[in-house]
Amino acid sequence: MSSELLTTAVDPLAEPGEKTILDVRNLQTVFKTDDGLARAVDGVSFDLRERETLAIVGESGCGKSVTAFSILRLVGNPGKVVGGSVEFRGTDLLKLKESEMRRIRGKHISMIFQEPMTSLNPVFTIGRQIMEPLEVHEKLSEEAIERRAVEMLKLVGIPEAENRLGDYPHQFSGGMRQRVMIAMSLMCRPDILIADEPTTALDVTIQAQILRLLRRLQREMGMSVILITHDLGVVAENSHRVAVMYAGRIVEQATAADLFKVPLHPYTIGLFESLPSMHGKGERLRTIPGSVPNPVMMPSGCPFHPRCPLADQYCVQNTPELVELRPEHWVSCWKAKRDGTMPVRRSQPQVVDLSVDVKEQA
Amino acid sequence: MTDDIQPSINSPAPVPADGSLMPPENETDQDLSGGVPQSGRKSMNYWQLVWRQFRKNRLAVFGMLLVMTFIGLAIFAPFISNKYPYFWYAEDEGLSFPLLRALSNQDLMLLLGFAMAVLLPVTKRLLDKSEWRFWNMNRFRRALLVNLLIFLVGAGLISLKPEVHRITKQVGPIRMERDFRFELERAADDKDIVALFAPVRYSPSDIYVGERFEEPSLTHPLGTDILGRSGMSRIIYGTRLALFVGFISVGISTMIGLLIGGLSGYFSGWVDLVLQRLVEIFTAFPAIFLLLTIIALWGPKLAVIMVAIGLTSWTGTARLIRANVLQVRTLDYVTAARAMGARTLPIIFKHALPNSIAPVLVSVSFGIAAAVFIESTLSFLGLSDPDYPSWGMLLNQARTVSVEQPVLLVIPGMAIFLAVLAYNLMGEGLRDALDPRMKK
Repeated sequence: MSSELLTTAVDPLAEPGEKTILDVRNLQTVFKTDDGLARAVDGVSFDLRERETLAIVGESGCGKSVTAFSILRLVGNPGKVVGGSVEFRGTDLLKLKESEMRRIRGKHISMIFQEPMTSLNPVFTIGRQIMEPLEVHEKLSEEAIERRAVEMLKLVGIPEAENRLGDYPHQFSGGMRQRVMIAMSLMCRPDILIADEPTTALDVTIQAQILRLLRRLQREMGMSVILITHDLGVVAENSHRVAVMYAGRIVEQATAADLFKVPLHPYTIGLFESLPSMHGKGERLRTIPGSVPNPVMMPSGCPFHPRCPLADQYCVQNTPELVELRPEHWVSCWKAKRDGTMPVRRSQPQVVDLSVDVKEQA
Repeated sequence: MTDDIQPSINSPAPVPADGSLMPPENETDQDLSGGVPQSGRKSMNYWQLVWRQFRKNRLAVFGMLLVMTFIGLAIFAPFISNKYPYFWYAEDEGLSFPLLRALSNQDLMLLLGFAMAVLLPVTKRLLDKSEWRFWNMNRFRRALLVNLLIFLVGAGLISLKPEVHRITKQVGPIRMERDFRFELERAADDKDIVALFAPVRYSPSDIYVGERFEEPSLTHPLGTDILGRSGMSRIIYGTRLALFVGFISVGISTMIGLLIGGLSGYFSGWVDLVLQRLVEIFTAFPAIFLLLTIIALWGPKLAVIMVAIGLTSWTGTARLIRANVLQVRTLDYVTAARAMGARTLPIIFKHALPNSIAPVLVSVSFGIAAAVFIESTLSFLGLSDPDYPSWGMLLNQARTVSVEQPVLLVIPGMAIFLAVLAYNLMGEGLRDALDPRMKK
C-alpha cells in the first residue's frame, strides 16, 4: 500500500548526496525588545545536502528554533530576519514574495513541531487537517487526496487509518499525534523536513519510535532532514552531520562520527562532559558554569568566553571565525587544536572513588 | 480496535552499507503503537460534552425551555391567535380553511424554516443512505446545507405567491371582509355551521373601537388596548418581533464583530491599532443616542431598527473575538498551518475563528437579551414600527390606564422580563458549560 508513494522516490536507500539542497549563509535574525535588539541568530551558515540529516544542537535559547523559523520565514513580530541568504536549490528564499514563499512551505520544505498536543487544531478531524497541505498545493481530486492521506497515515504507523480520518485530535495519544503531524508534513513529499525537537514532549519509548520512524521515512522518501534537538543522544543515532549552536552562532560543525570522537570546541566538550556516563562511578555530574548570555547584551569577542575555562584576554577581544581544523570539521575557537587536545582542561575528569576514601579512613 | 493491525511497509529497508552512525533499522517501530487506547468511537464529541454539562444547570435548562416556548409562540402565533377559524363548515358553502388561506407569506416562511429545522435528522438519515458527497463536508453539515437550500427555494416560491390579506364576501354591491365570529353568533338556528377557532379569536391588528380598554375576560384574556385590539393577541405577536429583532440584530453585530475582531486579532500591529480605536469610538458613543439618531433619520421601520441595533452593539463581540484570536494565533497549530503554506485568510477563518466560537455563542445569547431590551426601550419611547405589535409599545399604551388596568402594564412587562431572563440564564449556563475547565 505504500508502494505508490515510494516508487517515485530517487533511490531511496542512497547515502547523502554531494549536492547541496539548502545553503544558509550568514543568517541573521533579531528580535526587537524593550531592552534593545536581541540577536537570536547571529550569522549562522550551514549547508544541507540531499538525503542528509543535519542535526542542530544547543541549549534552550541558543537560536535553534529561530533558525528553523527563519528558513521558512515564519518569524513573526517582533522578530525579523535582517541579513544573510537561504538558498534552496539556488533560489534565495529570503528574497521571494510571500505568495511564492507559501508555495515552498509545506510543499518543498515542511516542518514538524515540538508539541504534538497543540500542533493539531482541536476542532477539526485529523483527516481534514492531513488533507489540507495537498488541498493547498496540489490540484487533486478529493478521492486521490483522501487515498494519499490514508496511505500516509499507514506509512507513519496509525492502525486502521481509514477509520481514523474522522477522529479528532483529542482521540489520539501524544505519540500518535506526532505521527499524524509527521504524516501531515509529508503529504506533499517535501524535499526538506525540519523537525523542531520532535520528541521533546514525548516519553522515552515513544521518542525512540518516532525517531526510528523519521529515519525510515527519510530513507524511503529520500528527503533531507534538519533535526533540531538539545539531546545529544538523539544526535548520535539520527544524524549524518551536526552543527552545535551557542548564543545564536554555530560554534562547531562536523560529521556526527567525528564530533563524537574528537569534539573541538570547549562548549561541545562541556556538553559531552555534562552527559551522565555509564562508566565513571561515584562521579558528580559536571555542568558548564554560568548560563547562556543575554541575547541583548552579547559578550565581546568569543560569545562563550565568560563560561570558557580556556578563555584569555585574546578571546575577550577577538571574535573567532569558523575554521576547518579537521576534514569536514569546522570550529570557531581560538584555542581549539586539530587533535582535540586543549592546552589546559580545567575540567579534567576527576574520579572521586568514595570507596577508597572509606578504606583509608578505616 | 485491536493491537495487531499494523501497516505493512513493503520496502525492504536494508541496513545502509556505510560508515554512518545510524544504527541498523529494525522494522518494529510501530510495535508499541497498538498500546494506545483507542477511545475512538465511544468517546463523546465536544458538543455532546457541552450538552451534558449544560443539562446539569437547572436554571439554564429552564431558560432554554423558556426560549423554546417563545420561539414556538413566535412561529405558531397565527395558530394561537387569529380571527379566522381553522376550518369553517356551512351547508351552503361547504368546508373551507380560512385561517390557512389567510396565512401571510411571512407566516409561511417561518413555518417552512421551522419544518426544515425539525426535519434535519430525517434529511441526515436520508442522505446517509445515498452516496452523494459534497466536498468533504461532514454528514450533519451536508444535511444542513440541503435543508437550507430547500428553505431558500421554498421561501422564494412563497414570496411569489400573492398575499391574501383578508377573506371577503360579496354583500350586495360591495365586497366586505367576513367576520366569522359574528356570523357564527348570528347564524340562524336552522343553519348548520361547524367551525373551530384558535384559542384567541382575535388577530393583533383587529380594531374594535367600541371595546377600548376592556377588562380581562374570556374573550379578551388580557383585556384590550387603546384601539380595542386584543391584548393577548398582541402579546403573542409581540414575541415575534422581539425574537426577530433579537436574532437579526445580534446576527448583524456578530458578523461585524467576527470580521473586525478576527482581522484585528490576527494581523495585530497597526491594523489592530486602527480597528481598536474604531471599537473605542463606538464604545464611547452612547448607543441610545446613536439609535435615536439613526431612527430619526431613516424612520421607525423594522429593518432600520434591527440594523441600527446591530450597528451599535458589535463592539463587545469584536473585543471578545480579538482576544481569542490573539491567543489562538500563537498556538502551534496556527504556526503549523502557516508552515504548511496556508494563506492568511483561510487560517483566520478555518483555524482561529472556529476556536473562538464558543465564547461567541455565549455573547450571542446575552446579546439577544440586550437587543430585546433595547427594542422594548425604543418602542416604549414610541420609536417602533407601527405595523408590528411590540411589547414596549403595549407597555407605553397601557401607561395611560395604569391605574384602571394595571394588568395591561404588568403583562408586557413580564414578557420582556421573561425573555431577557431566559436568554441570560441560557447564556450563563452556556458559559459555564463551555468553560475549558469543565470536567468529563
